Amino acid sequence: MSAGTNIVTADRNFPKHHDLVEERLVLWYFVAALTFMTVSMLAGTLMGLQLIRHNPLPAIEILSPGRWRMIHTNAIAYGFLANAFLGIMHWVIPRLTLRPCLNRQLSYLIFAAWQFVVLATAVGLIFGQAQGLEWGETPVWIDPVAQLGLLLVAINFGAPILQTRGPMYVTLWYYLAALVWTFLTYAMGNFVPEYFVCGSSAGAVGGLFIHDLVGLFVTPLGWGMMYYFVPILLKRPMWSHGLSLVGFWGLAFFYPLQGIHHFLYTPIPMFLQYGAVLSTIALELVVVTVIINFVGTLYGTGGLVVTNLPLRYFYTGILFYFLTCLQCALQVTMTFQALIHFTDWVVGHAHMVMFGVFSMWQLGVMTYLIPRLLKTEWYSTKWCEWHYWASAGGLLVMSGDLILGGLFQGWSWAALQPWDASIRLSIPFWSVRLVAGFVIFAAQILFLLNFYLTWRNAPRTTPVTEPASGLATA
Amino acid sequence: MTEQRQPYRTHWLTWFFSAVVLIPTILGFANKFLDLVLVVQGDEDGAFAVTPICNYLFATAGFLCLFVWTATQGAFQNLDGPSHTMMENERRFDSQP
Repeated sequence: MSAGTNIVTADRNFPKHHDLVEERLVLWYFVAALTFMTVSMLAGTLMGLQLIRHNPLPAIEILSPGRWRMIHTNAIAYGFLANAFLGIMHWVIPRLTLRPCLNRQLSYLIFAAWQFVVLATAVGLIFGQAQGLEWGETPVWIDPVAQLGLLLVAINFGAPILQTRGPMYVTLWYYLAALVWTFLTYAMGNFVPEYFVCGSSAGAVGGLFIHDLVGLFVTPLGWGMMYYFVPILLKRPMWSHGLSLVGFWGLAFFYPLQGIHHFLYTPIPMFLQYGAVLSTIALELVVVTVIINFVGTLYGTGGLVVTNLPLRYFYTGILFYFLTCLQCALQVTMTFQALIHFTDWVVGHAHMVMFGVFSMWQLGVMTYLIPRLLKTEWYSTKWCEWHYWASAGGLLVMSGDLILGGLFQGWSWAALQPWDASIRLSIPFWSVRLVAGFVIFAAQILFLLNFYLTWRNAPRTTPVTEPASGLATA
Repeated sequence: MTEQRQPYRTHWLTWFFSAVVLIPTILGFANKFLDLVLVVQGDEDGAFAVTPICNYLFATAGFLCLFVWTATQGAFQNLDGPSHTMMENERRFDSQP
């Protein structure tokens, strides 16, 4: 009796939502996610100030910009994205499999353990214990704890998925794969370069880790989420479930090799670099199948993107996803890479992926689920609109500004101008980025305030299962 | 009429994109893997590249196992079935008091 088998014929035998979904935990994960997002954006703001030579905390070693920068990236990846994904999975997986997670107490233990991992990582980074690997800076003594935590997550969520019989819905494919590959990717990045290989080989493994963290952790959880929420909000099934499976298996087979495109023009053998370029471009074809499927699902109901705020978040993220993948197919070519390597183009690209796509999706899901979880309308739907426009607009300005600035930096270096010249020309771009960052940050604070005031107004009882928010009416 | 043509179109698209994605990528990867073998045989300095390749093969082998397992579960027999089942189950959840 699951999404993988037959529709349950007798409603009285159909499992109750409140027996399956631990709503309180979903809310707690959202609170944790938004808290870490605030920390991350504060750190990003400080780093942005440093770039325009206005560091507000000079000469304090533990608050030096290099450490703040790692707080910025780790807090968004492991604090915001991971927490939000875990909360959303506590809603989605039981409703899809018609089974609760393996163990309720284990769910709460994982929640506490993950917050400990993220907080301990932040403390470790502040006190200079970072590992020398991008996105894998978590101090070595935290790595085994995080690894154990990921194993428990896989067991807790994997159990109901593996109990399904018959064809599974594509979301469960993505989730199942993500549970396995997040565990393996984390192990590869945090243990292999630290203990087993060194030099260029460690660099190559690091490249795989950086990109697999996006492609085998964030991407499957993100798309799995979209394949669940978009049809529900549109009240129609995906245009083609078969095509969605092409997207899934394409991601599965072609993503893992492409990480080395982060290290083009390095001592890593050229056949590996070209292999990464090839698989990256191949994946763009897979992305096209996914985009076609979501556009096909929307076909004929496009107006809903205007009136339904969560849907607007989702399709904005899908648009940014298409743009980032198109950008990726271009920037991994050797010619293009020679221009933009080490420039702010890459930083703009990364912000468009992590905030423009995955964070926007998660914020859209939160906008949809929080009224359902709290059984009340948003305190202010106007604030929700402001949150969307400031987030999307700010991100568009920030990423566009950084991408353009990256081109200027690349041209400056290609012309063999002095390093200082490229710094001087970057200052206006970094200033615009900082302003855009302030706008995005302010939007998230407004969202948090709206969340708090909505929670304060929430009734203690009277369950409501239909979407309570007028923002999500289809 | 539309309902009869839709499955044919999606079926055709699925196979088309499968071929477009799979064939060039398999060829490209096989070619690069052959390069690796040649490097390892003729140049010991290039042998360190075995690590990321092994990682990739390890990851891909995992997906291959998953793929075979799911095929044996009949996942590719009724491609759109799970989508309709999901929608129906969601409708039942949302109609609960």
